[in-house]
Amino acid sequence: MNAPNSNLIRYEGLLNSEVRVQLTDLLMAIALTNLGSRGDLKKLFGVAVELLDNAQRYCSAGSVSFQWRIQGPELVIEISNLADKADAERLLSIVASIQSMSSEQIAEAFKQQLQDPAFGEKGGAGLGMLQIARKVGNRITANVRPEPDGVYRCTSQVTTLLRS
Amino acid sequence: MHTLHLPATRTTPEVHFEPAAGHCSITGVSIPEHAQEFYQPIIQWLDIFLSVNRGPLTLRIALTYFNSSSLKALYILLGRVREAQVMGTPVRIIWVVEEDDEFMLESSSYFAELLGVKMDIEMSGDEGSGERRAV
Repeated sequence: MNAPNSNLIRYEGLLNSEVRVQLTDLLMAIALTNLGSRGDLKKLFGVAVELLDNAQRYCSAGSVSFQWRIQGPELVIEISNLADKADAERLLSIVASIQSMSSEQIAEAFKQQLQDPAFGEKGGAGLGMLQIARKVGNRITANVRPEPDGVYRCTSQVTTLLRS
Repeated sequence: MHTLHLPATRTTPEVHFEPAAGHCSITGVSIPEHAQEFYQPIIQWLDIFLSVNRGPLTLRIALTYFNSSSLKALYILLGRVREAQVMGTPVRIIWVVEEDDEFMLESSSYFAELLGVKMDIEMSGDEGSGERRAV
């Protein structure tokens, strides 16, 4: 049983292919022992994987910060990485757009993006944030802060109610 | 045509396409960093297979989890199968879903509806193996 507020995982460091694999293995193990039903587990593991994929794809340099924490009845998943200006602006734009959408509009945007066969130049499908919003709702925030050397610290946070 | 076999890794599923039998299976977890790179050769193999084969095709998908870029790649792959079905190839798609896995059940039903294909959902797992539904 978890305390009302507790950190399930906190990682700070480089995010490369091997770290990504190790983190996803660890997340699945934590979810299996802490997060109730399989439906919750898949949903929350899914959110984490999409955020990690985005951070790895758009990270321009340096380390990432990633955490899963329980706050009362909710799970908060947060990731922070450095990105160039274009990718930082793109993140803000996507999240602002999703925040303004109804669940029907999110479903329609997801469908259109899925049916577009193109992948982005960095290999993304353009579905990650929309998939998160479809699965856990649009309580997604993004924060961008300028750093030295023309890069931006991008922090994305997803909050969702745990069912069990 | 040769058999296509890709062993499972920690981020990609086992892929086994047997052209003589018309059996294709994708099994495991699918969370590659670059789904397009992983699935493109599989889709190309399927395109060649469908261009020379008019016999029955069975596609069995048994994924425990996939990321959204895999979702798009799977959508493209299933679209090819759907096109073959429209052109007259007898196609059976089986999607294996673990008991209590709402995520995968929703995904399989969503694909079936979006693509307009008939899909057999096969429930597996601890609590009720063997149940089948058609969507």
